[in-house]
Amino acid sequence: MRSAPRGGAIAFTAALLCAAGPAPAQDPVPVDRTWVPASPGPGFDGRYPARLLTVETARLLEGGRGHVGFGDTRYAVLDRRLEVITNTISDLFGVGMISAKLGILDPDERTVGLAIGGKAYYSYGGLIDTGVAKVAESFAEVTDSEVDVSGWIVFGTASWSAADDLTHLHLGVQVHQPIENRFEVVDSVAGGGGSVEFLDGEDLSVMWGVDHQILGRTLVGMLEAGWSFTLEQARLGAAVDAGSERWRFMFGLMLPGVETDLATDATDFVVTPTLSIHYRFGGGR
Amino acid sequence: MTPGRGVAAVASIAVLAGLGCREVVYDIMSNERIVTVPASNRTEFTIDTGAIELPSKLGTDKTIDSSTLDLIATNFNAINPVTVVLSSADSRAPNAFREVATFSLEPLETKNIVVVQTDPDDPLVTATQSDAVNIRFDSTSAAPGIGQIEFRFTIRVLAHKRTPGTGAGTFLFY
Repeated sequence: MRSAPRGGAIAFTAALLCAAGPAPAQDPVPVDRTWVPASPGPGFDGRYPARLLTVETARLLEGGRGHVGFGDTRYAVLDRRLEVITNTISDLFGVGMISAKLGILDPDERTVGLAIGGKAYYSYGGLIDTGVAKVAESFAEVTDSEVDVSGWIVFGTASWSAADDLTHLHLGVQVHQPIENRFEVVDSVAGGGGSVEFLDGEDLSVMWGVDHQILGRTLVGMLEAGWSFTLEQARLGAAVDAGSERWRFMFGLMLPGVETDLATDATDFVVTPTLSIHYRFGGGR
Repeated sequence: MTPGRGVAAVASIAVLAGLGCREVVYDIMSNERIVTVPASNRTEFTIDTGAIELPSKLGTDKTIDSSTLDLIATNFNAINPVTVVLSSADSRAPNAFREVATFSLEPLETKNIVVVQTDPDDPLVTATQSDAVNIRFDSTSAAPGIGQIEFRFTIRVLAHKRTPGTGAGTFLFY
């Protein structure tokens, strides 16, 4: 009487075990991989990121490719040799920026890649003028304002890959020469006003950078560390770059922060955030 | 957050892009103030401006390089000359006036007087480092009958602040 149920239990258990492990001849059970972005194509896989937080790498995009968006925006005019770059956040605020990066040695073809570049920026008004005027309105009812910000930068970066080929190292030299940093407000009704000028902001820095593919190109970690000889300050930065083949989001923090001293009270920011959201275009997927 | 403050906050962020320095230089000028002594039979008349707020309150962390009072004084009285003692006080001690300059005006005379003070203890320098400046004019006539006198002036302050070890804003452009 009892043997029949025991035999049924064994048969049921055996059936469960068989169900748990499909026979070799069966088709694999589909796995839901929707959380993993599509595998990047060769073009995407080869030359990214072109920039860390503040360090342009020796990588240059392939001809016709580029990034466009909020923050880092660039286009490769000549294949792996020449990029034109701007930062749309700065452009939007009223400081137009144009940069060119020239590839000297391609890191994909040589052990060490090398790129040099230059950048110029110039204030043209816009939001930054409006912003300064609004700040000034705390001192006077109606104001005119003028912002004069300009300067240039030159840089050179060597890049190479670590043994694992997931980690890339960068060593850069950067020179920044502000030409003018002046904010002026005028009370156009009652008269009077004032100006604040920031002087001696030149910088010579040596920067060390690392980017590491944590999860392929889907998630890339970035670190920077360096020293500003003229400002006698250490520079640090960390960021993550994540997204799909086309849409990328980069967020990072830099040390030191920024001290503002436009008006009455100085305000210290412990860290300086950096942000970029861009769309990668050009080339096949 | 009110809209104005919101915009101001955005402005502060925008302003960050322009920073990066080891020295900040300030050039602040008040609007033109006009003080009038009315005509009367008195031999002396005292009048002050009340608190004049500079467009930027500089605070004590800045070094004032110079405080300049640029005055145009006119004695519209056709008979009596007048002697004027100009003094200043600051918001920390509003009634403690200290003499800045003394000058005389002949009948119907107009004078342009520029007072530049640079010493940290000078009355204009200490006054312009506070939240507000008060300028007083003590006018005296030898004979009864003073005024009308008009004083038009501006106050200009040049100051600087050394910021060693800062300059982080310069990195934003990289």
